[in-house]
Formats: sequence, structure tokens, C-alpha cells
Amino acid sequence: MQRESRTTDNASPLPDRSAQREAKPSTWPDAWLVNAVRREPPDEEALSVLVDRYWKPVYACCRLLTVDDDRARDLAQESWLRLLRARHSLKPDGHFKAYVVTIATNLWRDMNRTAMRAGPTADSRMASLESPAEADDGESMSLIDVVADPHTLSPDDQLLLEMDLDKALARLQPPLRDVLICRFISGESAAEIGHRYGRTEQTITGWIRDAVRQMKMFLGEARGGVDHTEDR
Amino acid sequence: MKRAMDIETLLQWRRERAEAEAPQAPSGVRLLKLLSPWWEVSPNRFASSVRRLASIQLSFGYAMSHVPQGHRGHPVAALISEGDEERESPARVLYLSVRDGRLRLRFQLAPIPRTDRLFEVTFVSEQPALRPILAAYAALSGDGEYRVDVELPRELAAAWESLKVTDPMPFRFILRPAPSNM
Repeated sequence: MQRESRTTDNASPLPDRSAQREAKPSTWPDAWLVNAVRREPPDEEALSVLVDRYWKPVYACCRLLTVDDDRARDLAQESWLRLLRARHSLKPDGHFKAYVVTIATNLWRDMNRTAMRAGPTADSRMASLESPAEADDGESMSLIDVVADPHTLSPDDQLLLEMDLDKALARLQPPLRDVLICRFISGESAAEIGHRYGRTEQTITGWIRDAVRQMKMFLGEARGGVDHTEDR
Repeated sequence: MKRAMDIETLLQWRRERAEAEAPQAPSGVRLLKLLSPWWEVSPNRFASSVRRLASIQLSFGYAMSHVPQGHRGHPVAALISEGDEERESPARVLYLSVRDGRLRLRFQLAPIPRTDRLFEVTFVSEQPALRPILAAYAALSGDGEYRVDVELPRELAAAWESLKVTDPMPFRFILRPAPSNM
């Protein structure tokens, strides 16, 4: 089942007509905005408010998936267009942000269909989430040795860390990047991800561990094992 | 002070940074404009493409001799429209299925374009007049075939349900290259 078609009930109640008339669209709850967008023609102002409200989180998810500014913008915009094309089936009581993020993720998967169908081709060593990554020479290397708390870094070092993270994400095969983001950003369970891939929960847990292990290794390579918190 | 970092924390931090760096959101007006089909946004361009598409019939016999042999399926007149350029590119439908309101279609172009891995396909009706009836994306697969999988409007689903791949196709194609790298 595509998660696009699933919505959960956490939004505001349906509109009280008089209250809606008096309030500015920028203060409307999602349910009112969605109702206004479902109309024919859609309410342009309500649509702008809805896009403004959720553009940043949707873009951020697209940025992590595509690891590229322009592609992320295109993907985020295309996600809104897909949503608008199916606007008549929008549910005002749905969890709107999750809905748009799911559209974006599905679109990105479609664009990487061949890789997604194949799954990760790397060996699936079942590294534990808690276990340290291994450096090339076999010595153990925990993440604290290569990455400091980003909030303690200078702006320049934050930028470097951001670039290293992007490079590490880009080196992951699309299915591994997908499961990592679904698990840690979207908060999906391994069972939910497995259902979508047609794989067992155990397999997906293995993919997540593999993705984490590879991220640690790529970050270690990029940062040369240097601890950037020294003397700061 | 050092604090143990895990990948989840780093990803959440990167997500926050990406949110902070997000470009300006498109306005509702802009999105609705983008939503309009290209033939409404550029009616003159569409009229020009349709004229060219109609003329393909004159040289159809020659054009279809370029389609790879050995495949079932009826030829379809197709026009690749890119920027200011248009070129004819005979297509052959290799597979067609309409089930549960969805069209699944595979077609081949001759020659296979080197760079265009994704097309926006405009289905243009043959009868009673050449007019746009459907738009969908067609992605190039590893075996050199373009694949379409799209939900059909109810009336098209009903009309095409009994269509077989060996039947003359009730449409022609206008193909517009689409970015495939998102």
C-alpha cells in the first residue's frame, strides 16, 4: 500500500463557516485550507498558506533524499503539483505534512525505480547499531572520534560537517539512503518500511544497520578520524 | 565538551539545516499555473505540433520501416518536441493493458534517444480530431523500452479497456523530454 493514500487524524476540526469568514487564511487550521484547495477552482491564497506552512520540512526531506539543492527544489515542487492533481481526494482530517512528505518520497523512489527494486547490492553484514564502525585497517572507530556534536562547532566547521554528511549520504545506495531517512527522519518502523519493500522486518533492520555502518565509515574517511571539537 | 553522536542525531541536525536553507516556497498562483497542461500554457506551440503530427501520416510507411522488426504491436505516429525543435520518431506499442482504471503501456522509439530517459507523453486523439486527451510520464527501462503507468480518466478507461496491442492505436504521441534526475 502506498502511504500516500493513508491519512491519520490529528488535524483541526472542520470549519465553522462564520469563524472561517472572519479569520485570515494564514491563521486557518489545515482542515480549512485543504477544503479551500479542494474547491474548483482552488483558492489561491489558501494554497499559498498551505505551501508556506509545509514547504520547509518537505524541502528538507527532499534535500536529504536527493543530496542536491536544485533536485530537492524540483522534487519538492513536483510533490505539490502531484498533490494538486489529486486534490479532490484530499482528506481535510488527514495528517497533511506526512502526506506531502510521503508523496515526495514516493516520487523520488519512482525516479530511482531500478535501484530501489534491486535493493542494496552491498554485502549485508549485520553490524549492530551500537557497535563501532571499522576503519580500513580494521581498528575500531566510534563516531565520537570522527564527528563532534554539531552544535559545539564553529559556523565554518558546521559547514564542513554538512558537506561531509552530504557526501556520505550521496555515497549510500538509494535503497539504503531511503531506509535511513524513513527510519530516522520520517520515524517509520522497520516493519512499515519492510511492508513497502516486500521484505521482512529483519531484512530492513539489517539494511538500516548496514546504512549506519557505511555512514560511519564514509564520515570517518572524509574526516580522517580527526576530532573537530579539540580545543573548542 | 564531547558528546556521543549517533547517525540519527546527525541526520536530524542536517534536516534542521536544510529547513533553514530552504529556498522560498512557490506561491499558490505559480503552482496552479504550473499545473496547467502545456497545451493550455502554450496553445500556439501545441497547434504547431499538432500540424506536424498530422503530416506524419504522409510519410508513415517510410517512417515505420525504421522501427525495429520482430515486435508485435501497431505503429504510432510520434513527435519529439524539445525547445524550438521538433523531430519525428516512429514509435511502436509493445504492450498495452487497461485494468482497474490504469493504463500500462510499453513502447519503443527508433532510434532510441541517447539522452532522453524520461518523456512527458501527450496522448493526442486520432478521432474525431487531433486533440490532447491524456498526459503521462514515460521512463526508459534497461531494455530500451519506454514505460507508462498512469491512472486514466473514467471515459478513457472505458473506451480503451478492450484495446489490444495489435489494434490500431486511437492516439498519437507528442513527447517532451522531462528531467529524470530528481
